[in-house]
Amino acid sequence: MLRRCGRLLLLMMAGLSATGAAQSTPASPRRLVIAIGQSITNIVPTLNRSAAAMQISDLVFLRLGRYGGTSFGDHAAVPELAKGWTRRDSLTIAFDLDPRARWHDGTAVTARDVVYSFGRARDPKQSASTAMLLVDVAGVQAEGNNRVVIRFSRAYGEQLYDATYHVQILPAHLVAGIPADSLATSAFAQNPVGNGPYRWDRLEPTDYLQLRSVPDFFLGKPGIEQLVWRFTSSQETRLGMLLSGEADVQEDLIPPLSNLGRLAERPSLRAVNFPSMSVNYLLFNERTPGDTGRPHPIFADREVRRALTMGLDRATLSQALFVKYATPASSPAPRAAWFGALAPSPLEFNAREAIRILAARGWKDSDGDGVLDRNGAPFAFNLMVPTSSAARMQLALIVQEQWRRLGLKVELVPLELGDYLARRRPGNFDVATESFSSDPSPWSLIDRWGCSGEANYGRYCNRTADSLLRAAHLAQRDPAPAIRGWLRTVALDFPAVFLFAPDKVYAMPKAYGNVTFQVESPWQRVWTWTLPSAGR
Amino acid sequence: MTWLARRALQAVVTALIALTLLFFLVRSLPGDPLAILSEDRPLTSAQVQDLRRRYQLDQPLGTQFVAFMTGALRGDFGTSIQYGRPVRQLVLERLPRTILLGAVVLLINFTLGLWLGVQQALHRGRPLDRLLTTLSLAGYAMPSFWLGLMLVMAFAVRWHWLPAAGAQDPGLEGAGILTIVTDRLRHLLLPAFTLAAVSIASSMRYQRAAMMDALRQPYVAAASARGLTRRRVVWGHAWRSALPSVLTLFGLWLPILVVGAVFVEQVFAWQGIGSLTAGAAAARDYPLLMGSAVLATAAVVTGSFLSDVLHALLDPRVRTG
Repeated sequence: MLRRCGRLLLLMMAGLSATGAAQSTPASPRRLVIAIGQSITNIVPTLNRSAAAMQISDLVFLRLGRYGGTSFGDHAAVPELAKGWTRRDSLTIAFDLDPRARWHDGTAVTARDVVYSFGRARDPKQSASTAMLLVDVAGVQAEGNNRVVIRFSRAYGEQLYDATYHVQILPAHLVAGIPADSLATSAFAQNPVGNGPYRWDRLEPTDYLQLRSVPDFFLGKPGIEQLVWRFTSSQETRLGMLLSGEADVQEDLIPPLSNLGRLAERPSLRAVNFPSMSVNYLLFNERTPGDTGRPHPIFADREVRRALTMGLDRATLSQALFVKYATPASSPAPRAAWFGALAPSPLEFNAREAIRILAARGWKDSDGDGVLDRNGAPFAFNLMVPTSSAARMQLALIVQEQWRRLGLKVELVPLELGDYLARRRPGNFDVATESFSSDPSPWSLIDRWGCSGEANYGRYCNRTADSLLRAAHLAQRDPAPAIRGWLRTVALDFPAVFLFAPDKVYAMPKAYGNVTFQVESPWQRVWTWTLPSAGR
Repeated sequence: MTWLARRALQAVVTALIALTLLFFLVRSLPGDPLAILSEDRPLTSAQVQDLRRRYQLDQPLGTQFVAFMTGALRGDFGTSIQYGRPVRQLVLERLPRTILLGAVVLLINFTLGLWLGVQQALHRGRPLDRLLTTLSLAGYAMPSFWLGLMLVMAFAVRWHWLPAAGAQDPGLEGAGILTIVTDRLRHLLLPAFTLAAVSIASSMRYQRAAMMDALRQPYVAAASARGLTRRRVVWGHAWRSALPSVLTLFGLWLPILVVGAVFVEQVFAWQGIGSLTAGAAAARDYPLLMGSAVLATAAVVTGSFLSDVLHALLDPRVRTG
């Protein structure tokens, strides 16, 4: 009986395996399957908040122009929905829409769509974050069907960037009639109609999102017919899907580094890296946890922060986590950002000098217990780390060990992401392991590092630094000197130990040609990729 | 009938007490449910205030509790903070695949598991008993995520026999019903096997012990003496009397299978209620967490109610007191 059952079970498995063997490999080489860690439920601009959803949204909803590699001047964008623009004066830019641009329902993209979309993006009730970014836009008007004029309330260098980067255009003929607060639950949100190289095809909210190419896309025919994002929270599972052939691309392949070696199991794959807009850092809280009115007993001292920065061997740290796929950082400027090159060189690792500085500030091991102390108080603090990030957990362990060698007592506080974020906002921590992806504009960093920034969780404040960043934002000619000054000021204040700027490392098929990843939105140019000459 | 009504009323009261406790326990967790929304893009203070108002987090706890209870009675659990979608919709979206996986595992445990338990009792102390004990305990001791990963490595990565993850292949639009059913079954196989392998030991062990007790009873010896076939003695007399104690397991298993398959769901990207609940707990998404809590409570109470009813059906002494 037992043997009969066993045989039956094996037979069933063999049958199912045989019938489905062909299905576990994507059926068509014209489909690219991407395994990602988040679920996507919505890609409509102004409704989605996750970075992954926004990146996918870029393929369906275009902007007037896409990011041009800098946020300053009149070359900050490359034509997309607008075929070009003319500066009328220091406060006005006129955009001429490409008459070939169409919505996926066949309707032409018009100036009305642009005016509507800006209206929605500038309304704090509908889109508070974007409204803040567009605070300098004074008005948006249509001139006929194909021209839009955007007026600014003041002259500054990032006008074109603001007018193009922050607003994706929505179809007014489909959306304008929907009450603002019902858009999220509307039929449009379930089945959005865009104007990009890919159209909405299908969403299985717990499994995958599928986009289909628009063959008559006005900027050229996309090379890949179908794009599928499969949602899998476990990194191990994503790798399993990649190696079994169920996925073609895996985002964020490392860490762990062992994944690079395992790619060899599928010779048709390769690792591709490109600089990211992220910087990893250890954020010092300059105020007492739980009492932001008082300076932090340890980290209010700039010299102590400098010593802790010098006392970390960041090159070894980045090597341990990312091998060659990260660059040591000295400031909040991401390596991929155009202003990343303006950052000063990182401080050299020098443990002896770090110990000397600490001793000069009164921190010595007076009782011989291996931990520095001052006035009877040990140099002890907590290092908060979110358990959701294996990389940051690993990083925290290495940091703890390196600082222990300086005589610091570091208590790791691993927290669930929700708890981590909740403690970070009111400043209930000593040091936090942070990673931040910024927009391509240096001005976007004011929120993290400006005195009144909403996301300035470490309460760092230097009015001179703020003035320099503001001067850069308002510069009409070359903003580089002001940005350089700002980066240098921040770097010398040591509000954080800026660790490294990691690359994005993706696993993908070798066969695809013309592969380019946009640093600010990796999938934006996937429609220009060329097909493999043979199947997978 | 009185017994049944009393037992049903008891179930309702238990559910109400459990939900009340859960509501206040969830609210006492450290963390802020709105914090998760600022992970990718920070929220302004005004946005935070606005969201607090929208989710009634600015109301006193008592008011929030009344709102939750009245909403729950109408089947409305509010909107998930993390997803921005109605909780009911999210739960209903994931419930079918949780039920599918749970039902298959339950079926395996309560058919194959019980049958193997009986075989062990009949072969007590012999090689078959020892082999099954070793195998079942090995499965029980194995972490489900590890076993899952090993199976993925073998069946999906190395041999390409079965899919590594997910509940369905994309790109099957327009395919025939047979293709779709086969696809679903292929995706179900590894998670169901993993979950069954790590859980079947308890039903086997329970059944083995109960059956050994039953086989020692005088009425079993009497049945054999009356010349009944061995099959009739084992399944008609001994097994029937051993069944009630095993059925209590059913009541315990139901809730575990509804919300307890978190690791297996994660390894196989089987997006069910377990992973939804785990995500809600990590994000402190109160409405979603309470929606899942209602489901789990319902599963516990229903499971326990059903096992009592089944017990009473099989053993009249229970309902007559």
